[in-house]
This record gives sequence, structure tokens and C-alpha cells, in this order.
Amino acid sequence: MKRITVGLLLGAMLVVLLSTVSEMPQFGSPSNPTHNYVSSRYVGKSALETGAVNVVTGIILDYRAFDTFGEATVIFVAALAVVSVLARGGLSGD
Amino acid sequence: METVRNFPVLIIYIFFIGSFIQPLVRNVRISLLLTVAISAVSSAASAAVVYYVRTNGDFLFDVAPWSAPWGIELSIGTLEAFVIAVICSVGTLISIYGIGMVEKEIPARNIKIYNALFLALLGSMTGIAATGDIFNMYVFIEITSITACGIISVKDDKKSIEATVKYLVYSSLASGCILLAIALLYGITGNLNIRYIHHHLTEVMYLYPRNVLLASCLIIVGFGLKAAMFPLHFWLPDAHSSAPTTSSAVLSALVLKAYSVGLIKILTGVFGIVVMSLLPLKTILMYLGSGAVLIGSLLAMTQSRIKRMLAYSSVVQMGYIFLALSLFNRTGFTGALFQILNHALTKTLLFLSAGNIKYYTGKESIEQLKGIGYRMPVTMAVFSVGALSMVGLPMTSGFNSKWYIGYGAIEAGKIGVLIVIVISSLLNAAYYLPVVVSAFFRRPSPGDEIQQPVNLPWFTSVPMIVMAVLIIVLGLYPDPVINFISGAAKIF
Amino acid sequence: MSSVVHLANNYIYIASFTLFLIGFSILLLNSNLIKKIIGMNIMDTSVFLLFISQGYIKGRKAPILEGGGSVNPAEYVNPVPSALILTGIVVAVSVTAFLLALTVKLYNLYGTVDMDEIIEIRRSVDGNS
Repeated sequence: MKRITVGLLLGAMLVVLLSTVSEMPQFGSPSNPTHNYVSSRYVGKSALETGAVNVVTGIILDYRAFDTFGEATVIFVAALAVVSVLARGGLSGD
Repeated sequence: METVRNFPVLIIYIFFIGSFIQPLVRNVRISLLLTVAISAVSSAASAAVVYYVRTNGDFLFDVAPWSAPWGIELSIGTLEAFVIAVICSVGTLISIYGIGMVEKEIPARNIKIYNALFLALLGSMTGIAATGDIFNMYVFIEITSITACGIISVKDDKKSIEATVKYLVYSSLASGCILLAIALLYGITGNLNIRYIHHHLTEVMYLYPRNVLLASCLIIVGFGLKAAMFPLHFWLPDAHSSAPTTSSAVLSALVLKAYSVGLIKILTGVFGIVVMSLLPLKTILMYLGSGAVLIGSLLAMTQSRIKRMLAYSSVVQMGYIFLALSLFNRTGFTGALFQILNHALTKTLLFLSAGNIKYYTGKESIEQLKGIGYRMPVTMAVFSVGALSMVGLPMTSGFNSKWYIGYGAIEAGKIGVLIVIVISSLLNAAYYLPVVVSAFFRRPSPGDEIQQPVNLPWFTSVPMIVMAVLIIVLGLYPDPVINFISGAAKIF
Repeated sequence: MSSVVHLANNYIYIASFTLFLIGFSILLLNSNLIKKIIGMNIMDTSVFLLFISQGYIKGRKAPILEGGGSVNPAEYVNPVPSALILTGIVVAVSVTAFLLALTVKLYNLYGTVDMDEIIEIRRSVDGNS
């Protein structure tokens, strides 16, 4: 019984999601809303403004470096949390 | 004066840098003092930001030399400055209390880790409030999730590890929903900055209506699970009651508020009043808020241990915030913001005094608290102030927040909300007042006769007394705060 | 009819949403902690797939600039989603690491990784939960 209700619920959610896909912009078309003034400046000016030949490197280390700072913090706090749970000695100190 | 524009990002930086240098500190004393020092400096900086926003209005700040939409910007308005000030000041008071009490509950090898996670938590909550870019907000939400779970599991015993697993699993489920919403919003507008998405969304809203609808539902479900919106609150009692005392205080008082402020920022900034009126948002929030308030109160009455009762009470108080937001008018919004401040102060006070009771007398259940008022007079006095504020007695800040929410309900014509608030105040009295009454007016059980009153060290008693005084002061003179935060409800 | 063609062209989005639902249901319905972690990873990976596939343009090159001189943005794929997903993958890995550490600790304490059994053991030991 539980399986049937869960299956029906998931089926309903699948229908909702598929109806969303039916109106999303076409996959791979150059006229998508995401290919706009933002990405063309990133590609066009990244060699001049950031000196990076790989545009993705220029974005994560220069244009959106604050995000990379947050991501480094995520690794740091996850490592601390793992040490607090698993290590016997923890961080040395009194 | 223009240097104050740099302060929000500096607050975020010094919280994180303080967290990074915690593992290098030599001993536990210095680690705790470093936490207090950094939180105190951030409180001073946040007070300067509040003063700046009050005189000069909202401002935008580019983090890198690139301006939006190519770089990340912070947008600081009245709401954000207020919430950052609440986070920094309540965090400072909790860390002062922690000087004495952290070593009593957390194993010594984990205390530096605990302080590092605490500072990172405060920094990431400030980031959620301050940022103007939705993917940046997602990164800060993840830091908040991991550190909030980390400060429960540092206690390293069976109950806390189990509660942490439950909290982290549901929290990452919600993060997945939020990331999917960000992906959908990026797919139809091509921007990640909140102002720019809003601008493009008003143009393309009618081309992709189902995408917008799905994105808004995912945002509400995701943030609602993290902010303990009824009925997605089931993880909260275990997580908040099995954590160390200072962690319970931070989690109940600040983390839930940071997520609800993130929800407010995205709903009002990205979607705006037009999209919000298309969804049946008012009805949903009103029913969920009422459910939280009534059913949470009934569940709180059945609890026998203090900390679990306080955790269910947090569900009730968050329900007030969602009820106030569902009214969609200025007075209701002002009431919601004032309730953020009120609950932060009051719930911290209640959790810290419950921690005191547990450490000095070893008692955890409400039944055992008979006559304890003579053994711990200061603790029970401030607990009574906090309990009266939760009930909503006049002259406390709890009364003022319920007053504004009720007044907003009358203005919006929703008398049902007013009735729910009155009933819930009676229910709150049913589970808070027995604790106060039995502490002062009942004889202790024959096992523990009246012993000497406990002498609390200054760093344990001073934060609690400061918070109790603030609750009474805000109850009598709320106008400076009310005048400041009523400027935040610009869109209603 | 054209909507079916449109759906067939967006096959990647359909795959991504299906994987999201599969991961979601694995996370909620299983009581084994390792399976919950796997479900969470599938769910996160499906969102990354959705993000990246929105950046693709047919017939263009990867955004690594070649040749000096002027750069024509119309020859390259959209670089923004790739940058965001690098951060997203790191976040998903960190949460997975923390969850796995907690699972190891729970296994050491209780001897099982099944959440239902753990709740049973705790309830029979405690008396009240």
C-alpha cells in the first residue's frame, strides 16, 4: 500500500517536471536566454582583463573569486567537522 | 563615512579569517577569547553599518573590481543591516557565556574545532543576509549547513551524532532543491544577480510560466525545510535538544532566522510582488504558520525535558514569523522583523539558563525543578523574564512583537490570525508558567534539601542579565527599533 | 505534435529531472545510511547535469581561447555554468565526506548502518525518546 501511494506521488511529480521541460528553451540553440551580454563579455575580455586563456579559470579566480573563497571555506569546515568526529587525538593542544 | 560601505564584507572576512587561525592557537583559553574578540569587533562594525543605513539609505557594494552582473555585489538595506546586527551581537553574548561553559560539555580535544566552526557559522549567516547574488547565497547556505551540523556533532556522544545525521540528510535534501531552483532561474534569465534576474523575470515571466512556478515552489520547500516551517520541522527537536548549550542557543536563535531572511530576500528581491501575488502564497503561509503555532504548542506541552520543550517552542515562534509574513502589509512585516530580534534574545536566554540548570544541579526534566529558585536565584529570575516574554506579557519585547503582528492582522482583515495569536499565548502560558511556578513556589523533593545558592562566575551571569535587561527595555521603549525596521517593508 | 518534438530535443533535461526524482526517492525511502548518501549524490549530480547542459551550444568549441588577436565570442560555448558547477561539485563532495564520517562513527557505536535499527536500539535502551 505504501509503495503504491509513493509510486503515484512520484508519478505526479514526474508529470509536473516533464511539463516544465516542454516549455524550457531548446537544448543547444544559440538563441537561449543564457547566451547574453554576460557570457560574451566573459569570453571576449577574459584574456585582456584577467590574463587567463581558459575562460572558466578567469571566471572562478577573478570575476567570481568570492565564490571560490566560499568553496575553500566549505572544504575547510568539512575537514574540521570530520576530524572532530573521527580523530582520537583531535587537534593537538591542551 | 564612506569607509563604512566596506564594513559588511570586512565583517565576513574577519569571521572567516578568525575561523582559519583557530587551529593554530596555542591553548583553549586563547581560542575562546579569540572568538569573543572577533565577535565583539564585528558587533561594533555592524552597529556602524546600521547607523550608516539609517542616515544614507540602502547601498550596493562590489566585492571585486567588476561591477554586477559580471562580478558579485553585496546589497545592504534596512533588513540586511538589522539582521547582521542581530547576528553579531547575539553571537557575542553567546561566546561570552561560552568562556565558562564550553569546556563542561565538549571534549577538550574538540574545543578549538568548535570555536572555528562557531566563527565560520556567524560569518556565513552574515553572508546569506548581505549578498546580492543567488549562487553566492547558495555557497553561504552550504557553509551554514555544514557548520550548523558540525557544532552539534562536536559533543561526540550517541544522541548528538544521530541527531546530526538526521539534520544533515534533510538539510542536503533542501540544498538540492534550492540548487535546482537556481538552475531553472539561470536557464530562463541568464543572470545570477538578484536585481538583474528580477528585471529579466518581469519580461520572460509569461514565456515560461511553469519554470517560474516550479522554481518558486522549490525555493519555498527548500528554505522552509531549513527554517523549520511546519510541517517540515520534524528534524528540529532532536537536533536542538541534543546539542551542547551554546550550540542550541545559536541554532534556535540565529540559524533559523538567517534561512528565513534568505527566503525573504529571494521572494521579494528575485520574484517580486507580481509573481508572489500570482501564487496562493498568502493562504499557504497563513495555514502553515497557524499549524506551526497551534500544533507546535500542543506538542510542547507534552514534553517532559526542558530542552525539548524549548526546541518545540522554537517551531512555534518561527510560525509567528511566517504568519506575519503571510499578511503582506507593512505592519505585519515590521512585526516579523521585531519577532526575529525578540526570539533571538529570548530563546538564547532560555537555552543558556537551561544549560546552567543542567550543569549546576544535573536536572533535566521539568518535574525535578521544584524549589530550585532558591538554589539558583539569578538563573531562575532571568528564565522567568524569558518565559514571560514568550507568553507575551506587556512590558516585555514578546508582547510588542505579538502586538504588531496582531495589528497587521486587523489591518489586513484577517481576524482568524488574531484569534490564533491569542489562543497561542494561552497555550504558551500552559507550558512555560508551570516551570516558573514550580521553581519558586513549590518545596523541593525530600532528596535535595535547600542548599547554598550557587555562585555564578561573571562570564556566565553577565550575558544572561544583559539579555534580560534588553528584553524589558525593548518591551518598554521599542520605538527606536520599530522606526528603523519599518523602513524595510518598502515593497508592500 | 511539435511539443513532442520539442520534448525529444530536450532529452537531457528529461534525463536530469528523472535522475533528480530517483535520487530524491532513494534519499527519502531507504533506511540504510549508505544508500541515503548515494541518493543525495545522484540528486546533486542531476542538478549539475541540468546546469551544464544549459550552457551548451551546438557546433561551438570549449571556452579555451586559441590564437592571439581578437576573440569572437560567437565561436565558444557559454563558460558560466562550468564555473558554477566546479564550486557545486566541491560542496557536494564535502557534505558527502562529513556524512560518511558520521556513518563510520555510528557504525562504531551501534554496529549497524540502518537508521531504523538504530532508532529501535535507542528506544529500547532509553525508555523514552
